[in-house]
Amino acid sequence: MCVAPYFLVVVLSSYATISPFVSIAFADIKVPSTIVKTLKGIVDEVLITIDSGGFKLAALDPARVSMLLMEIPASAFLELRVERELSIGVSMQSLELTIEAAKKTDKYVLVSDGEFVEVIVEGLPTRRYKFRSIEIPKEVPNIDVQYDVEAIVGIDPFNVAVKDISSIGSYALFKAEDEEVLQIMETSTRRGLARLSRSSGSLIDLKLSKPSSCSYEVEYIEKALSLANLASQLQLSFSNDTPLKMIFPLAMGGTATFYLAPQVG
Amino acid sequence: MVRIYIEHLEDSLGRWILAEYRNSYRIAGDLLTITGVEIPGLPSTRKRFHELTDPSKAIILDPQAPHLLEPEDLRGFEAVVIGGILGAHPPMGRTKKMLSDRFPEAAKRNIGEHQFPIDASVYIALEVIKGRRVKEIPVALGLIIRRRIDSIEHEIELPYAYPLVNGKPLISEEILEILAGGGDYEIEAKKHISAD
Repeated sequence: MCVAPYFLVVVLSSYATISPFVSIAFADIKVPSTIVKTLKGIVDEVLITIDSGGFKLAALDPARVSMLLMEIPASAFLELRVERELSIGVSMQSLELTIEAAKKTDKYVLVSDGEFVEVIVEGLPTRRYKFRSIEIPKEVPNIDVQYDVEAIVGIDPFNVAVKDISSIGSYALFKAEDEEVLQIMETSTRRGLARLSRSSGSLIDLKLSKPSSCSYEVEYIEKALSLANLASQLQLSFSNDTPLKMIFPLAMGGTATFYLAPQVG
Repeated sequence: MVRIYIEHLEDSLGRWILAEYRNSYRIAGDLLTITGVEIPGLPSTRKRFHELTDPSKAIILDPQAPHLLEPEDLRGFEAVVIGGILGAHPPMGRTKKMLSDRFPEAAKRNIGEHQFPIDASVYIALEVIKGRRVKEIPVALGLIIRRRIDSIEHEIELPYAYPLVNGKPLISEEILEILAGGGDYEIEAKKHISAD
């Protein structure tokens, strides 16, 4: 017999060393690991709110260029216990560490008493991480924008387009002139043009109030596309000189919304 | 003297199982042969244990065997065979399926009701070969490895049984390195028992 962490037949006891007010168990380790993958290198800390309705996450990068808001309903979790609603601040360093050695078969449990956060990654072996909740402003910037272009695109063709553009330059220009085609290309050279169209199936829907174009940093879009792991479609909204809004309807329920500021100048 | 065979039964040879094989060699030295896989630097062969010794002269260590291994059981036997199998919690009975059932002519014994890592099984087998009784071997049931990474308290919990050698659980530095990386750590046994 060897203790190598290959098989986990039953869930091990997820006892915590603190007396938590909230306890949440993710059915799939993919969710926390995707959150980490998306935010790694962009933000320093995240604000997590857990109440009887479910799980909310807000993360804003220090330069205030991008923001991720996530909402997952209680029904999506293996377990959600709430004695009282809690908002906790977690540093990305801590969050990254909890995922570092996690395996696909592991169960991810997060508990908190408000002062401390404890993450239990149950598997073979079971790993526990305990750290202090950090102070983070609870106010999330309100982005009140009237979007002139609202499109639903297939994730795969959009992903290919973004990858192509990232190999050419740093910014991607989004352009819609009618409701049939969404064009994406490298901003300065106009190379790497991808035409997501209804006829090809890569554009599922497009609503246009007025022709618009706007340019965004492609590195952030690529990071946000890690969320595609949890979704099958992507809703894109933009206007001239407005933030890009990327909504990922999550397969487990809920949404992840990523905002990205437009290119300046 | 009775030889110890580890019959490699996994499809692959991962870092973890290799660390346990290496530690098994440190424990048993030339008494050990790893069968079913050739590993440079370790006494090993692609041949299976039954090609090297008569299975009817072998005792397979199987957690599902009804009787505990005793030093006197070894009289007339040439080999103790340990399954080179990756762990499951709770146990899946793979030693029985993959080893015991295939060699009905071999004797079967257990070394207690708990699951031991391969190197720990080798240690217990060697102690019994030397004349010690399993019930005389103290065991830690479940280990917690504690370390600190900046302000984060980190614990790694292993649910298996580890014989205590000079009061310390038998777990190799190589396994600890895989689990906890470099740096300082403390090891705590969750419960002390005897092996049986």
